[in-house]
Amino acid sequence: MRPEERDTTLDVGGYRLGMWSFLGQRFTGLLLTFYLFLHLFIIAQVTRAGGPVTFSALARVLERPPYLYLDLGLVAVVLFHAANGVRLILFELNMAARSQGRLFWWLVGPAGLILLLGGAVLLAGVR
Amino acid sequence: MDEISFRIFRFDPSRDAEARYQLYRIRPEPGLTVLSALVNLREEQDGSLAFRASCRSGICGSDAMLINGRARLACKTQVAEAAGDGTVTLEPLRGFPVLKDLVVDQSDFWEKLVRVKPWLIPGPEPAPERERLMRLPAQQFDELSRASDCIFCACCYAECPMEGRHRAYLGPAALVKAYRFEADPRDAGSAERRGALDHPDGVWRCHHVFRCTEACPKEIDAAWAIQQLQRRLAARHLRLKGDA
Amino acid sequence: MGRGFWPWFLQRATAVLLLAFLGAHLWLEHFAAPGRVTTYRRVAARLAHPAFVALDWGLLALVVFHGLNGARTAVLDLGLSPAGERAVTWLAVVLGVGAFLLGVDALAPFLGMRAPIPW
Repeated sequence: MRPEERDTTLDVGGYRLGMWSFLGQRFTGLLLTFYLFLHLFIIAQVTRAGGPVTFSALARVLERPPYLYLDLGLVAVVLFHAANGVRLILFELNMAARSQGRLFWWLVGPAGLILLLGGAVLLAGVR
Repeated sequence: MDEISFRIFRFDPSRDAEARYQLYRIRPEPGLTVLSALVNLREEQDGSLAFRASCRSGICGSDAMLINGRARLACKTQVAEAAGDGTVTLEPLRGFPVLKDLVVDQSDFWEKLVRVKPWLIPGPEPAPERERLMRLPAQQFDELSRASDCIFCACCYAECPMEGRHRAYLGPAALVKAYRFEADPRDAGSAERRGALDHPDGVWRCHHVFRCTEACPKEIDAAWAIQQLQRRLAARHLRLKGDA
Repeated sequence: MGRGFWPWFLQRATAVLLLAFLGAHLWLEHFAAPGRVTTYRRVAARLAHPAFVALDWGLLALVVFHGLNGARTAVLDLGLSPAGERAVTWLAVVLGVGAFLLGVDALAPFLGMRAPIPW
């Protein structure tokens, strides 16, 4: 290996919270952007090309397992991205200068609770 | 203490095509620092080993290197602490061209530092006939003295993932220095620094990974200082009141 | 100047608005009426109300901008040439317009509009 070939993008020694949350924010953001295209494309295809009957039939399939589990996974990704994003914005507003590390858990924790509660409600609603 | 291994990054551009790691065995005395161990190694085992050091007490900032993958000062790191599993791995700072072994070329670092004009730029008032008194209240001095503690060791550059990806980014130490003068009520140089700071490769490249703050051997909260610069510039763009 | 600031600032501004818009979207789709299946007719009935139309248009614009502006930042952080940066910016604009048109296309039948994309 030439010295200048050392990987400096991800191979950066030990990872701590700041690095994980940064990579997590990037990864979930890119994932959600990809999903956005998929979401809009499918709905556009179904409403335009398929019409009302296809739309309702597809909605019935997508609102049950196994797609419902995927949907919950999506909500988990959204909740993480939102909770961590709120933490970064609070830091930037100088409202968490010393506590941004703890704030991560205080925001992501309740987001996880919301996910569990929401998931339970959704799964209970499926007949 | 038992014998331990030093695994050291070796590269001599005049002889080597590739970098390699060389193992050395030492029996450390209690209280031995990584820097002292390196000095001993060079004197007793391998005179060709290259590293940079000067004051040996964490003031000159010369001996920053990767110790077990993290950027630290060799003189402020105890061998006993670093040799958790019996091996201490030493590598040159990440993100800088390697000159030889543990010595890197920091030209880029110094060039970035100068770009933020890290000196007091006085206001337009006429030059006094004798000397100019520029005193600072004690409390404000305390706030700024933290940012003045920087010893330019470049640990924060080696740890910053943005620097690792994007070499044009000004980087933590230069921005900390910029903050030290931007926050100084005696300074009137904001307009002159703005071109460097208010730029995609200036303050806006920071995404708050906090590795600079964690790595700083002088415990400067670099991430916070960069955030302060972002806030000042944002207030200026949005023409918010109460902005200095 | 402002080349660094505006993408940074708008990312945060859209983020705060999305907390409300996306929160409302997820709530309406999943929890406003638990156990009830979404049908074309229900969606159309909801979209007869201007508040829901505003919610969907706003959400569409915000989420497309936030997603592509964020993706652009992530790519530019890799360090590109000025020409590469311009190319990425234009690619983001083109993808953004495309995504927005897809969204208009999805909403059009519910709103009795002419759809923009001839499939």
